[in-house]
Amino acid sequence: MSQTIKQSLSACIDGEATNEELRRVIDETLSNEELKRDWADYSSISAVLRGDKLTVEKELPDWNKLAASFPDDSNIVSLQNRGRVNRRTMVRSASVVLGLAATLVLGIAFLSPFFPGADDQATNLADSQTTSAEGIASNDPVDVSGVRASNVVNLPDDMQERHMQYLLEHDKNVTVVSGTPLTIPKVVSRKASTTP
Amino acid sequence: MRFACIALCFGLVQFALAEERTAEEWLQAMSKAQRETNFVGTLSYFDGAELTTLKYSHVILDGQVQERVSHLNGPKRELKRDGANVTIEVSQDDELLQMREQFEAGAITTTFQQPFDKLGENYDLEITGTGRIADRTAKCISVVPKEPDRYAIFLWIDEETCLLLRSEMRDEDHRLVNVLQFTDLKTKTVEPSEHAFSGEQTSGVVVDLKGVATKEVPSIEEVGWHTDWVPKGFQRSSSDTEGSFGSDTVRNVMYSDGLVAFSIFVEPAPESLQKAPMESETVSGSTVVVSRRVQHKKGDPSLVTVVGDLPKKTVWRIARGVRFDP
Repeated sequence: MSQTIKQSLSACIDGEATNEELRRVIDETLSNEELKRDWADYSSISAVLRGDKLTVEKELPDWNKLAASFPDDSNIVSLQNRGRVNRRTMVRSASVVLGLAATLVLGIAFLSPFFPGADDQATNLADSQTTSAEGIASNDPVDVSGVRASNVVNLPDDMQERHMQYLLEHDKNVTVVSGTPLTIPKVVSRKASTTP
Repeated sequence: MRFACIALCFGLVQFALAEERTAEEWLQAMSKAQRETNFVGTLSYFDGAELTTLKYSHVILDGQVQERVSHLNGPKRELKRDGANVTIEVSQDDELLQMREQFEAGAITTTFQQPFDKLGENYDLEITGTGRIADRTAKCISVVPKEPDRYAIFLWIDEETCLLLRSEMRDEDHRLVNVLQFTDLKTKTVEPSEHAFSGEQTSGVVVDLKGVATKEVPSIEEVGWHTDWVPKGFQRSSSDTEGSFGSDTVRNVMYSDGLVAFSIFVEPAPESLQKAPMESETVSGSTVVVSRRVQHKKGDPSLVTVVGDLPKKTVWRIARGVRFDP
């Protein structure tokens, strides 16, 4: 399987795919069991990164219906002028940065014998930054704003249940108060098991 | 021949009307069509992680909206709306059912129409082109927020019926948050017998989501807290409710700007959550849930939870803006 289609698949899972990519992935996946498995794997990885619970039985999309649901891209008004960060671009950028970093390290290592005070200065600078950061942390009141998002998976069960119940309650408010095709599908599709 | 001429004239007038509509008028027309047109269709919904397929049926009977939305994949789940009453039929092992047993919901007092006429105050509305969705010609309307505190929405509206055919929600970097699209859509005249929900046999468990309010709910001023900040254009809907978690009363207020909504829940912080993080967050598709435990001067701490289809930073700002009166 080509790496390109896997990149497109990953973009689909991340919600970053263009219509064209989505169409291509769906077409490929119809006849490709390996790609279907990859879809499930990537979905699981994506779920873990989002802090979602994983279910034992991962429901796979109905690929035929999916294919039918997305018309040819030529028939859709294009609104895809966003500046999506392509993975390939990211890899290229990372390579350039790593290359520059390596050159810098080698350069310092090569030049340090000629400038004996350089190491000490660098160490002092690093120390001062660390000390400064610690000082700020110890003087400030306990900051609780950081206790979220990244550690959602560690939320106590009680809190997870409450979040789920409030999520459903919000869904119901929206459905009853302004139920339209814009809101109802979200409510009916809400998967209790994939929400922490 | 005469009939052909009349039909042609009628078609031309319709075409001219369609051409002359502004973006705002298209949204108004969509809102009206969604309320008044009988339609049946199949749609796909992708929330950024999961793709589902749903059968959607919308019928007006005796002036009352009746809707049925069935989940075609996975466990059976069917939402039924009969005027203000909404129920959902689920299988015995659906987790939704377990959740319902723990939370006793209040009832919504009234419903409100989506104030599309005010959308222009907070969104830039524009007709961006024409496309083809579900074998129908659709006008694409972009609804882009003036402030990045909410998502942009792109709507494809059927030129013939003015029904919604596709919608996309996108963040400020234009990344897709969710998308729904009808794959087929039919308008039809429906006989009452064809669409009567009441006499149907159900194979699963029916959960009553919300009914009409039976008791007076205290106003927000009476409950001792208020919001310092909500995004511009969001108005409190007439849907304040009181529910309960065990013996704790939960106060629920909903705000909407006509397209998206968020809910605020305030309850006494449960003892079981004393060791939980002071702030916590859950994300489900495009919906964000955040909770804060707030210690206020009156005594026991409260738990403030905000749920909304808004960017995280906006939901957090709303939650942190909930203040308790001294």
